[in-house]
Amino acid sequence: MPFHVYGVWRADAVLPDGLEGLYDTPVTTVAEDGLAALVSECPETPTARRAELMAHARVLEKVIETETVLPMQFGMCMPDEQTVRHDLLVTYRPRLATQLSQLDGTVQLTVKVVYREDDALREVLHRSPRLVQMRERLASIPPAAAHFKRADFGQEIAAELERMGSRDGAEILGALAPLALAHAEERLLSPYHILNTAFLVRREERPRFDEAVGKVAQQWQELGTVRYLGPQPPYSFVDLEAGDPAWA
Amino acid sequence: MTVTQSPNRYLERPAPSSLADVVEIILDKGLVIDIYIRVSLVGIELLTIDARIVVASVDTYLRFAEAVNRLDLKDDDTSGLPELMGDLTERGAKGKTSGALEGVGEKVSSLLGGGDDDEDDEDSDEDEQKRPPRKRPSSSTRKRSSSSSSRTRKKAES
Repeated sequence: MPFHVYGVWRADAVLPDGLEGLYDTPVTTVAEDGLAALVSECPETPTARRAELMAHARVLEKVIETETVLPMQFGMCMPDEQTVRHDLLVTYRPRLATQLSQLDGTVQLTVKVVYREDDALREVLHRSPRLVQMRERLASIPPAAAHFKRADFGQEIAAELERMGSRDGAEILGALAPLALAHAEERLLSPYHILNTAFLVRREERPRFDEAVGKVAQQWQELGTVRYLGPQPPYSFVDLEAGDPAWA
Repeated sequence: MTVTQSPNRYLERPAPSSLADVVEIILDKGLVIDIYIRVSLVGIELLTIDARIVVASVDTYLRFAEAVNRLDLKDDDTSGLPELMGDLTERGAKGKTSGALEGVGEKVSSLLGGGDDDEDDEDSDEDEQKRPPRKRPSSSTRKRSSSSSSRTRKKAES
């Protein structure tokens, strides 16, 4: 029976009781020389539906509450226990051990800041009287006749929105980054997303970081909303190939 | 570990990830040994690629223009301000702009949610259909003006 692999941790870490993974199968461990892989049985080619994706994330978010774990990308499926032992735990042992000790006692916290469309666009106009005048001129032309002028106008709005977003995003990052060991900026999914950043934070620094995110949410409530995710395993800070990161 | 936190009505403690967050992270981040990635990513692969593409098109800009025209600025004092920022805006507008990708998260949820997971591979078609139809201002204008002029002519004859 193949195994789906969730992550790697120290062999002496404690598995929560009754933890279930993909397809409601129990999560177990495969240990080798001080390291252990968190696995559960799965079909030859697991499906990636809502249930499986959520199960993978839930197992890792449950585990990170109390233990340090190096998360695997979804879909790591190894044919048997021997392969997990050899091709993962033995082959990558030095790197896994190093990353585990570097990330010990840390969690990933993700902060996403998204403008509310109307409030952000109103602010764009507020900052640019010229765009307000363009809007007024366009209002007096029948929409069908002003097709290309409207496109130009929209392009200018988009450019101003992007400028405002990167400025605000940088300001928020500047407030949070000093409280974290490291941060990784992930892609922004729309022009209204101004921050999507994973922070690596020591567990004992959590209260300070929570407080700082709360302040950000308060400060930006007029323009947008802050989503605060975690604690997550350090998805954005693990790598089997790369050298040691600057913060380690 | 207990976390004590001063009461804050703006934000709770960090929350568990939603499906959209999960898709964004676990298909892209984390440790990976390529030869052992065995997963049927029908539909989902399209989506993650889709999310990476930044669309900058006329349609996108028209959507921005429309959204701005909708805004009610009655309580706003912007129109009274002098044109201080004109030059600055002009220069910046020529830079690279990213476009609108509306509701990526929602698209992900509707793809993976709804209970019927077998429909995943239909997403690419759905995507095409969602695109607003191309507008043809010239032809519609012509139609309207010709009909109104013929009406005028009739009136003049009678």
